[in-house]
Formats: sequence, structure tokens, C-alpha cells
Amino acid sequence: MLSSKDIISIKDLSREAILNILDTTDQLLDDETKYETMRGKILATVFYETSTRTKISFNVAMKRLGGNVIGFSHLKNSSFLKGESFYDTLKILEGYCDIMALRAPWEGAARYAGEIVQVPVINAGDGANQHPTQTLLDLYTIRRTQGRLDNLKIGLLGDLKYGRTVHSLLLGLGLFNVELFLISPKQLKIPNRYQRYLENREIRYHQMPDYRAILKELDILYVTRVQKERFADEIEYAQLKDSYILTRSELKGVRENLRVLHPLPRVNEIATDVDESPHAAYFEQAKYGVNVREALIYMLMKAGKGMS
Amino acid sequence: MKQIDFIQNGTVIDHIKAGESFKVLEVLQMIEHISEGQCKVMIGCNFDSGVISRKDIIKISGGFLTQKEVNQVSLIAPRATVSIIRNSRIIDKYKLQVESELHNIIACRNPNCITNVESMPTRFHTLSADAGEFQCHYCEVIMEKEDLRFV
Repeated sequence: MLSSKDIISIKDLSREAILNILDTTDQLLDDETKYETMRGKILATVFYETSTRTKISFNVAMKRLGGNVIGFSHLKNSSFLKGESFYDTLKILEGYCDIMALRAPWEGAARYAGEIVQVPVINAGDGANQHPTQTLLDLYTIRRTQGRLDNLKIGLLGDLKYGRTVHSLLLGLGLFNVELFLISPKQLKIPNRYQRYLENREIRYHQMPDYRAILKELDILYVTRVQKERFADEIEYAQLKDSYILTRSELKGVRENLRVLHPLPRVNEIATDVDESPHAAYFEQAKYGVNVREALIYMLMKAGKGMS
Repeated sequence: MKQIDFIQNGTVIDHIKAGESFKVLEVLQMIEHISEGQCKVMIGCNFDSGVISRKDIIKISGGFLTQKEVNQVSLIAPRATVSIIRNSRIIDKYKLQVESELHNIIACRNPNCITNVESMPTRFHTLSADAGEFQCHYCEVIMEKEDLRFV
């Protein structure tokens, strides 16, 4: 059972709660009775900024459960620009739906939304802060491809300084017995507070500028792109954007069970020739995003008795 | 030895860590009846103390603090004591305590935090009162003593 009516931050979830969500995802995968569970229910996708993939994924998840979807997909389609407060918009939408998925450019918006409305709120990304459904689908993909979340060697590659998905995933992985390889250029190293978090949880981790030496040891390589929008300085971005490009030839001799993950969209950090490799799991990972969101909608609605 | 004048009516903030009284004054400056000259403020620095090695002390003659102002002072001087003086007698004395949750006391330093976009009260969790570390309940940013800005 989840301890809150909302899913706001990975920090709110215990190891048991995460495993419960992943188990429910497994159970719903082939359960045909799920198609009727949200009949007559409405999910509002309240997206103050564009995120096509996340929004579609929520839409598909709700529709697969038999429910309907309403919402908007950009700040300019909301009444915010007319001067309406975030509070008023949410109070109005609350009356139109049974559950909400919220994407907002402001950090903390999802936590606040959960306090404003009675219906369950799923955080679909609040600025640079949290994106818990991404982390849960990452953890689901790791467990699905490896059969476990403990005793794994996991490499996190790319922008470890600004990358929200990496920070969130690191917090989630910290609840399991893993060994982490944090691979980034020195300008994009993981912030100190995350190192302290790993140390407090006694998670073994190594920092390094290159992945080639350790690729053969890994079970998971999680690749992220260097995000242009996080840089104020274009020159610094230009210097770092091509730091890593994983190619198929580099995957020779790696462990058979190695899977390459990526939150997508990718730019050029994974060469397209990797796509056909048995080690590529990023499209599969994106697909599981729907399954995990189905499980979250199902669990939150069930807990709130919002379903038949 | 008389270290600083007695006051008949007002507030004494004692056992402020040496050097931090000026930061406390910044808080007091925001209090209208103090900043507008309706009361005298005396400050003493670097006195010997049995409790902490060196201390500062502030006396506000004719001035009293609201609970919110006391909470603000507690964030700067978490180990200070406050005495309320009436007719030259201490009628109340207590050690400052930093609340585990701060409701509408400080503003978030993150300009993109929802509390700086919407008109709404702020909320923080105290991570370490002594180190002055507070985490925004909403955006999860951690504030340190030098970031503190009061609501």
C-alpha cells in the first residue's frame, strides 16, 4: 500500500513501497480484467509545459485501464497567462476529474497541488526537482531485465550534475544493494549532497571520466544526454555535449546481461547502431513507462476508493 | 561586573554566539517599533560566558517580540535565551528552540520554487538547527544560514 494519496517525490517512497509498485506493474501486465477498472473515471493531464512522451504515456495508461483523459499541454493553453492562479486552476480541474498527472515548470508545484486538491496527484515532473514516474520505470526496467534490484553493478553516464533523472534514480537505487559507477566529465560530476547520500546509505560508488575500462563489469549502463537547457553558457555546452558516444563496437565482450538504458530523448550519446544490439533496452524502457503509470493510477485510485 | 545597562521593560536576548549579534540585529531591524526608534537597543559583544565560550547580548528597552519574530531570531541564534523584563523584574525566561517545521518564517532562495510564483505560505523542514540547514517542503532546495531571507 502507498502511504500517501499522491506520488510526488521518490524520496517519499520506501524500498517496500517501490517493490509494491513494481509488483503491481508485473501483475497488471497480462491481466485483462484491468481494461475495465477505470471505466467512467477521468484522468486530467495538467501540463504547464510540453512533454509529449510523458503526456502520451499517461494518456495510454489511463485508456488501457478503461478510463478517459482530459487536460491541456502547455502554459499558453492554461489560464495562467490570463492571471489565474495555479491554485484556482487546480481547484477547478479537481471538479472535473478523478485523478491528475501534473507537469509544471516550477519546483514544488506537485507537492503544492497535492495539498490543494482531494484527488490523487501524480507528479509528471516539477521543474528541475522530481520526476518520480521516470525513476519508477527505470527501476522497473532494471528489475525486469536483470530479475532483481540488489547485487547489481550500475553505471550512470553523462550529465550527473544537472540531470534530474539521474539524481532521482540515484535516490531510488540507494534503497537497494548496488555498486555504482558515476561516469561524467569533471564539470558535470554528481553534486556533493548525492555523494553524501550514498555514503550515508553505505552504497559503494566510484567516480570516473570514462566508461571503457569498466564497461565489461556492468549489468546496467544508464546513459543520459547533456541537456542544452540547463546551461547558461553556450560555450560550456558546446564543449561538453559530445563527451560520450556509445557505439556498438564498444559493446563487444560485455556481460551478456548488460542492458543499456536511456530516459530519452537521445541526441547522439548512443549511436543508432546500438539499437539493434541485444543490449539496447531504452525503447523497451519507454514502453514500460506506460505499464508503470497504469500501476500507479490503479494503486492510487484503489487506495482512494475512487474505483469500482 | 555590570556588563551592560539594566532595562526596566523590554527584552534581553542573551547567549548569542559571539559575532552573530549583528545578524540578529538585521532581523530586529525589520521590526517596525524597533526600527522606527520607539525603543533603545543595546548590543554587547564578546563577553565571557559559562555556557558558551564567548557570547553576544542584545537588550531592547521598551521592545517586545512576537512569536514569529522570536522564531526568526532562533534561526540565527539557535542557542540564545530570551528574557522578558517588566518593572525591572524578569517575568519570563526561555531558551530559544528551532521548530522542526517552519511555517511562513523564511522565503525560499529558489526563484523557480512554487512559493515564489504563487501567493502562498512557505514551509521548511529543519535539517540542522545548529548548522542552520533548512529544506523547502515544496521544491526540496536546502537553505543555509547565509541564504536566509525572512518572509
